[in-house]
Order: sequence, then structure tokens, then C-alpha cells
Amino acid sequence: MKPQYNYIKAGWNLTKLSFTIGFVVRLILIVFSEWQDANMLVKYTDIDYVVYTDASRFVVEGGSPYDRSTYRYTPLLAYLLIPNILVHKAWGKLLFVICDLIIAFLLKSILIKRFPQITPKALLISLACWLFNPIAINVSTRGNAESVIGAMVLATIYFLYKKNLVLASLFYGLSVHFKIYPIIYSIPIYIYIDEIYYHKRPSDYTSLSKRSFKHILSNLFTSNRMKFFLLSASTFIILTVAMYLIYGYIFLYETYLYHVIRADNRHNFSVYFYQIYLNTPVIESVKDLVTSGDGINNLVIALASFLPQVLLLLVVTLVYYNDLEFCLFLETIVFVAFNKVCTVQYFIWYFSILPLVIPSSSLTLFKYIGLFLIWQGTQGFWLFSAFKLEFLGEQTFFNIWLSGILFFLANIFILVVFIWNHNPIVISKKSNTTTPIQFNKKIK
Amino acid sequence: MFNNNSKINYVSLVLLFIFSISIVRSENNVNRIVVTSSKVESDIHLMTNEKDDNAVDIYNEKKGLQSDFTLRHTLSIAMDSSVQLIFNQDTKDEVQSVTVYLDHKDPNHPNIQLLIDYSDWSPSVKMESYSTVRSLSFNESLIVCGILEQLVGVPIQPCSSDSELPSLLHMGLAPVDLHLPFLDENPNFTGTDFTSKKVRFLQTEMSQKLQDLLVESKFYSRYYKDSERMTTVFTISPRPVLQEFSIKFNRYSKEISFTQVMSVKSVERLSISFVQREGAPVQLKLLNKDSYEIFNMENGDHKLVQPDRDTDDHYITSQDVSYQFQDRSIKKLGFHRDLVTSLVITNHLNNGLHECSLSLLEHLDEVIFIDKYEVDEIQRFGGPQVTIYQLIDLEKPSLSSTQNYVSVVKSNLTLSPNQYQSINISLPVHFRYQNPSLHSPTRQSTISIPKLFLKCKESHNQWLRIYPSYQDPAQQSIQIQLPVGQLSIRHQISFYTLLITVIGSLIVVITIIYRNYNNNNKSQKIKGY
Repeated sequence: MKPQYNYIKAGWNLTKLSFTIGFVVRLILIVFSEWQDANMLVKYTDIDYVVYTDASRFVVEGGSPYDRSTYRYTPLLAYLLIPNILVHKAWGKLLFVICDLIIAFLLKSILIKRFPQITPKALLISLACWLFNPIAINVSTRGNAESVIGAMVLATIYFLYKKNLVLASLFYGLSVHFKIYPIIYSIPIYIYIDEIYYHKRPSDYTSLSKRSFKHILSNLFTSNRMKFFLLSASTFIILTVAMYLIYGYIFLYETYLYHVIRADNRHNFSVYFYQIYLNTPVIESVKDLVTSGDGINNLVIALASFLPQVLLLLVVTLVYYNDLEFCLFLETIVFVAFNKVCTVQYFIWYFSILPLVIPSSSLTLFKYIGLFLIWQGTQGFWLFSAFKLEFLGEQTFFNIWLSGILFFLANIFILVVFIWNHNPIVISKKSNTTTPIQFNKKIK
Repeated sequence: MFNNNSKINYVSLVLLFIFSISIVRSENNVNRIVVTSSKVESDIHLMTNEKDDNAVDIYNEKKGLQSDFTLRHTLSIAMDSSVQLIFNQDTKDEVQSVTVYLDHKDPNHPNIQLLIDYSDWSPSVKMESYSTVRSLSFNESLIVCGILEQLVGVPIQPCSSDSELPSLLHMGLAPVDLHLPFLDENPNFTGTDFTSKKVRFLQTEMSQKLQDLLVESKFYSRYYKDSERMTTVFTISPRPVLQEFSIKFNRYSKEISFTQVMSVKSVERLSISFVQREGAPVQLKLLNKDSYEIFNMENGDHKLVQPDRDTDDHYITSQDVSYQFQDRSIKKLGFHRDLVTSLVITNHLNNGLHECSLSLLEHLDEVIFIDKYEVDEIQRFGGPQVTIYQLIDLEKPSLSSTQNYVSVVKSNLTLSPNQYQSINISLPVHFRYQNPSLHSPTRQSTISIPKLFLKCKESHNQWLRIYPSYQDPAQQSIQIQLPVGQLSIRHQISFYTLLITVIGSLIVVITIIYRNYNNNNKSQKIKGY
């Protein structure tokens, strides 16, 4: 008999109900945002949504989306939001909300495939972490497009677990084209696809059974891996070349290069903010333009700030690639925490993967709440200092820097706690069944 | 009787129009434009610096080498000489057209204005799209232009500190759909067919040397196009264009002589030459002290020349309306503030003024910017109309931004006769981050006193500059202190930031390795069991 994964209590299908409630809450907020935008000077809608909409208008009028200053995305996003101009300007928000639901659906399918023994209650809790995540709800309804990229990333994972390598590759290439950060997943996904990929169930993968480095290297170019690499690279290259031929160099610059070389001196959550601001060349006369300044010193600083991130990403990959969802989750937190620019939208990148990690973690609800409070609290310190600078004009740059360090250390702590409480699936060779330890504990 | 001695021999003048100097971070090919003057007498040469293709030497034959700095674009027009602009192959079609305007509404304040129409693919157009591309700020441009002014001997706007600044400035590229700066005038640019998306505009303040020439040019233009206040002198186009430029005229003389302007653009060369040509014999008949009738003796054409009546069309003058500030201050704190202006306008006439609009022309330095989308929303809720005359990139820090002008327009005013009216205008302003400072915890930003313009039904919708009823010494530019980073702790910040990030990464790595070791032991136990 097929296992029952929906949580039914007192005649109510709570799993399906959570989808409905999540959708309704977002719809209500979209309506509210339209009301607030129309009636109040302080907007609910994020300025980025205005940028997308203006870019789509230029596309409709036959121009380039980059005629809109600060449009720094792929033209595909402007295409997706053309109905903002032709139908209703709230179409994009509806699209982002639907992507939120698509993410939830993909999460459910991935969890069932990866953890067949998951209980209906555990599944509901995992889904609720996304459907009722206040940050995810706010980001989509205010008009940020992070859920579109999140849906592509999860589609990649879903089709990987479904053993559909073609669709997984296509979605991965598409996600990297849309936003460049999923490139950090390329190595763990590549190593995860081993030579017996098609003959192994997704629930049989565990970081407890790692191949030796020698074995990985000798099988580096298997047909499965090359298939994934060639298909995803082709998808990315075809899309990128097509956009380049249409829009020229400005497409490459605004979509990719800007985010690589970007070093805003405006304060943000990044631990590197103050260092970047203070090391921006001080040019106050024509003579300063000629002086090369601290060229070598700046190079050393840039390299030193890049290595910790690379080291961590590699270690996480090599240890946890067989727990792919956990690996990607850690990688995303590391990438965001060590990035040179860190804003609220980036948090969605790992919140959309968090539900996949919950079933294999021994963290209790209270511990999750504690981690969330630490994460949110350190942000609160930062917001307090930033508010005094931005709106009261007080000299709080040093405090902002300290708060950035606190937030960074909170991220380190969260990483440590998740690693410490991670329970890889234990595969018993005697019996041919999978029995995760934590589920046995819960049954007792 | 024909008299050769009556010809005026114009001295050689070199006008340098300087465009934004940019340094592109990427390793793009640098576009070089070398300007040479074929006239031996010219004292000014722009020569390529042998050491650096980015640098152009300003060489004065009398004073020697003056300065060495980086230039990307220069364009010069020289009278009585031939000037050749040599473009590199990469930029041969960068400049699609150059339109030069003579503004001689007021013979005492003539202007030459230049409008550059770039090709869409031109780096000068693309440059503006890259908010992180380094470009000289306004203040840096002032320094560069200050050097050039001393060499050239002609005030160059926006550089001249003596300038009353009769019009707005565009140091950057501006989309063509933005209003070009002519608050003092009101020319109609709609007839101009610009095919590119962005244009650049600069203006010179003419010295006395050019006034005679422009006055005569004004007379000449009235001979042919009496109804136009602005005359297109010439447009550089792919085909050779021959156009008359100036005229020498004496009311008792019996001929009009011309200086022709020849502009030719080939694949790699843009050439402008000025040729003195003998004039056609004419017959003048004086009607009154201000009116002439001119007969062309060769073809019998004649033209009646009458005084310019534009001034008389203005029902009101600057003296008829005055204002006084009641409050001019910055509200709120931090990096997001409101610029509040309260003033009283007094109508000194015995007649009321209707359908009036008041424009405050705000001059903001490179630290300040206006959010176009914010002011558009405010207008939707009944606020004033705000026009921004330059593309403003909200994300740039101040060191790579430029000063800019904003006009705040309050409409639908009625000024009763011999009475005053109070007007309150609030403008939200935002501040960029400035360079960190070595000693002071703050840096300063300046908001200048605005210029006020008024137009009413009675002025035929012409903008008219109005002035305060008395000069209030208390009315000064607003100085704002803003916090900046502290350079004195720069190295400590870098050191501890890197230290903490390295320690953080090591903590996670150690946890992973230790946890992995534990998991392996657990796995072995299970196998053993």
C-alpha cells in the first residue's frame, strides 16, 4: 500500500490546507500592497518591482530593458513580467507567489523521494517552514523575484532525485542564467552524480558512505556527469549568447559583471562593509587619478577575503555531497555570510532549502526558535545602528561594523549547530530497508 | 565706394569644449581624439602624450607645457583657421552630429551652445549605463577646466566661477526626453530630429572678443529668418555642408561680407574651416533709427529690418514681482531630509497676474540626489512638479557623481495686485556616502540659494527671472554635516575583519571534520553490531 504522506487530523487534510492558507495569505498581502501603494507615500512594494515593470515597458515598446537605469537582471525576467504592462501591474507579484507555491510543491515531492519514511507530521512541519515563513511571504508580495530563481534551483534538485538528468540540467542552466549564485552548486551536484546514479535510489545516498578522493578523481568524467555538465552548460551558453546578440555588452555587464565587481559603499549586512568603504580610493583631485595608490595591498586584501569562502565551500562539498540537500543548504549560508554585499533578499536563497534539511536534523522546535532569534536578534542590533546613521545622522559606522561581525558570527554559530545536529541516513546492509535514526526516536 | 580697409580682421580664437573625462575600469580600447590647428599663429595645441595614450598635453607655445592629465574627448572650433578632429578607427562614427546654436536675443550676453548627438553604440552613451564606471566628478572637472581657461583665455561653462550661470548644466549624458536647460529662454527643440538616445550639452560664456561678431551675426540672421530667435549656425553631417556664419556690416557701407563655415566629415576626419568671402553689393535705406531696408543689387531682393519686439511682448518685467524668503532650511536628520522653502511673492503691479507658475531652480552638489520616482509619487499626491535635468544614478557614491540641477515648479498661482502671497515648497533630498575622512567625523554638503523664475498668462508664458526685494545677509547656502567613515582606523578594520572571517571559516571546518570523524565511528559501530 502506498504510504500516506498527508497529515489528516479530525477529518482535515492539514497538508493541503497549509498550501491553501499560504496562498490566501499572500493574495491578501498583494491586495493590501496595492491599497498601500495607492494611498500612502511609504510603499509596500519594493523599488526593484518598479524597475522590473519599467524594463518590461521598454520591452513592450520595442526597446531594451537596460534602458531602465539599475535594471540588473536577465532580459528573461522583463519578458516574464510583460503582462505587468498588458494585463495588470500586479501580475508579477502573482507570478512570484505562484513560484512560492511551486517551491512548496517541489519541497514536498523532494522530501518524499529523499525520505520515504518521513511521517505526515514531519512533512507538514517542513512545508510550514516555507509556506508560513514571514520573510518569504514578504519578499514575494513586495515584488522581489527571488522565488523564481528558488523554484528553478528546487526543480533542479527535484529532477535529480527523479533521475531525470535532462530536465535537471536544463533547469540548472536556466537558474544560473537567471542569477549567477547557483554556480556554487555545480561541484557538489557534479560529484553527487556518480557512476551508478541511475541504479541508486535517492534515499540510498548518505554522507556516511563517501568515496575516496582517488576514486572520485578516477571517475571524474563519467557519462552521467558529462551529460549533466554539457546539457546545463549548453542551456546557459545558448541563453546568454542569445541575449548578448540582442542587447550587446550591456547585457553581460548589468546581469553578471556588475554583481561580480560590485562593491557598494552603502551599509549592508555584510561583514566586509566597512573595510570596503574605507578602502575605496579617496579621489579628490585630478592628481589622485594618476597615482596608482595601494594597488598591491588592495590585491592582497581582496584575495584574503576570498579564500575563507572558497575553503569552506570546498570542505562542505567534499564531506556532504552525498547529503545533497544539506550540502546545498550549508553552501548557500556560507556564500551569503561571506559575500561582499548582503541584503534581505539573499536570505530567501537558503530559506527555500531549509525544509529539506529538517527531517535529517535532531534539532527540536525550541532550538529552531532559538536559532531564529539569534539570527534575527543580531540583525536587530545592526538595524538599530543603521537607523541611527541613516535617519538620525549619528556617527555609528563603527557600531555598524561591530553589528556586522555579530551577525556574521551568528551565521557561523548556526552553521556549527546545523552541522553538529545533522544525522545522515544510516543504511543497514543486513536488511534492505532504510531506517533513519531520528524517526525511530520519534516513534518511541 | 568699395573700401578694403573696412574689413575687420578677426583674431584667432580657439574654443575648447570639454566633455566628461572618464576612465573605464575594463581594458577597453581607449578612444583617442587628437586636435590640431592648421594655423601657424595659434598658440594652443593638443598633442598626444608619448608616454600615455590616455593623456593629452596642453602645450602653449609661449608658456611651454602646462599640465598633464587624462582626456577622452575634446572638440574645438576655431575661427579663421582650420581645425581637424582625428578619430581613431573605433570611434569614427561616434559623433553623429554636432549642432551649434547662436543665442543672440540679448546682444550684450551672446551665447554659443553645443549639442552633441552620439551614435547609440557610442561609448559615450554606454558609459552612463554603467553606474560603477569611474568618471570625473563635477569638482574635478572644475579643476581641469580651470587649467584650460587660463590657457584658452575664454570662460568655459560650467567652469567659470564668474558666470551668472544663465542656463543649466549637463556634465553627464542626458536622455533626449529630459528637458534641456533653457529656463532663461524657451527655444523649441521638438523640430530637432535626434536619432540617438542621449545627447550632451555644454555652453560657453563669450568674451568681448566675440560680441561684435555675434551682434553682426544677429543682424544677418534677421535678414533671412526674422521670426526666429535662435539660429542654427551649422550642423555637422556626413555630407559637406556650406553655411554662412557671420557678417560684417556698417550702416554706411555698401556691401555685406560673409564668413563661410565649411564642415566636412569623412571616415576618419571631421574638418571645420572658416573662409572669408567677399560680400555682395547692397543698397541700404534708413527708415528710422532702428529700421533698415536692404536691397541686394545683384538680384533685386530686398528685406525690411525692424527692431526686435520680443522684449516688448513681455507684459511684466523682473522689477514687477519680487520675493523674500521667510524660511529656507533643511528638516529632519540623517541621510534623508526635506528641503523646505517658505517665501512671500509680492506683485507690485496694479493688475493681477493669473495662471502663474513659480519655479525654484535648485543647485545641488554631488552629495545630494533627488529620487525621481519619489517626487513623481509626491506630485501624484498634490505636491509640486519636479524636473531633473540630468540622469541621476541613485547608487553612485558622491565621489563619482556630479552636481546637478532640479527645478521645483508650483503651478496655478494667482498674484493679486499690490499684494503678497505666501508659498511653501518642500523637496525630499537624499545624501550619498562621501569619501571617508582622516580626521573629521563628518564631511560637508552644500545646497545653494535657488534661482526663482516666474511665468504667467500676462508674460505670454515666458519664464522670467525674479529677484528678492532686498538682499538678506542671513540668506546663505545651507551647509549640512554628514557622517563619514574614519580613515584613521582603516588598517585595524581591515585586519580584524579578515581575522574574524578566517577564524569563522576555521571553526566551521573544524566542526565538519570532527563531526565527520564521529559519524564514521558510528558507522563502524553499526557495522560491527
